[in-house]
Amino acid sequence: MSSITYMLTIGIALVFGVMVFVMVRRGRMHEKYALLWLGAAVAVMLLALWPQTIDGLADFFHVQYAPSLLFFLAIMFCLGILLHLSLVVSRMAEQITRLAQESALLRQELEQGRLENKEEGQ
Amino acid sequence: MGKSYLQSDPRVIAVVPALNEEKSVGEVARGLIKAGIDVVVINDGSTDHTSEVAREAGAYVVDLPFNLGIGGAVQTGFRFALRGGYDVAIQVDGDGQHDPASIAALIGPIAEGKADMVLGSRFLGESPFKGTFLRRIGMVIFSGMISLIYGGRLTDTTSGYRAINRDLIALFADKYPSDYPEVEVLAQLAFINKRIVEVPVVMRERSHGSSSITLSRSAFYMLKVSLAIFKNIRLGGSTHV
Repeated sequence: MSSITYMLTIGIALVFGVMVFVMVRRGRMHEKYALLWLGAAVAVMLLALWPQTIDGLADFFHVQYAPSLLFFLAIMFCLGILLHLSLVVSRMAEQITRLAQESALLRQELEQGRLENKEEGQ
Repeated sequence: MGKSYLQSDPRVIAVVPALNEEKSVGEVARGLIKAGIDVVVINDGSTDHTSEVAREAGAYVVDLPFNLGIGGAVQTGFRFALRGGYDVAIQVDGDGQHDPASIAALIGPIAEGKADMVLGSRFLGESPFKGTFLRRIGMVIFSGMISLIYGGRLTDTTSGYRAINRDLIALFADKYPSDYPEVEVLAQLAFINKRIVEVPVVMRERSHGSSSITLSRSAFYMLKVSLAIFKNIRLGGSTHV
């Protein structure tokens, strides 16, 4: 790979990291997820700076074609995150349902109370 | 086990989930009130006058802020019943298929302390209900797993006309499946010792709207029900919650 490719990769990782940082500052992303993505950006940057790390790892795991190890790790990382997000979404759906039910029931109780007060007042 | 609920005059509430049923919900509510029980209509995000019509008919109305689907709506009704201290909750569709004349039959086994849940079956005894061919195949596929578990003892697992006692009101208020809960909840109950009894009920062909059970959906929900069964199986040990 040419040094231009490495520069480009580092550039993308940098832009990515800055984007995450900006989103955290604007309060649009929780720090928990920000740390995860910042970590990913740093990992990409380190690998672009020292690409031989991947070759070393591939040797260690007896992977013939080093880039495939890179892809494997990247896909595993994405799968892990997606699975985690599914869990989060499921839990949130449950909580939203409960909130909707509670708010509807409370409103009914409130209206019922008002109605009964009115009747007593008459 | 809990105490028995033998009582001559249980407090009964009908839980009526309704989504855009302004044409039928009023009549349904009046019919139930006339049968001598309280009615709570759960308006599941209707865009028509379901809420007003139900109020005018004399029902309690709980307006959900947005559509939760049938499971979430019915569960809201059970939570209402739990707070109101009701002894029996009967689920009744808002589209007018369920004849209030069957209410007494549904309450009976619970009032006698013989059942925790009573299912209204279209296929026990004499009933004019046929349904379309596709729908019937759908129901067979849909409920196949449950039929297996219950050894064919239950004839109509998709019936939405059913009654539950205090125990189950409390249980369902806390935990109830979201879509197509009629079948899935039977999977939930299959592995805890709850007494389910079927009684014949009369159902009319629906006057408005269309059934939500189709063949492809049935297949999908059969897989979902399999998962629900898997989820509720307790490996070894006691079958009590």
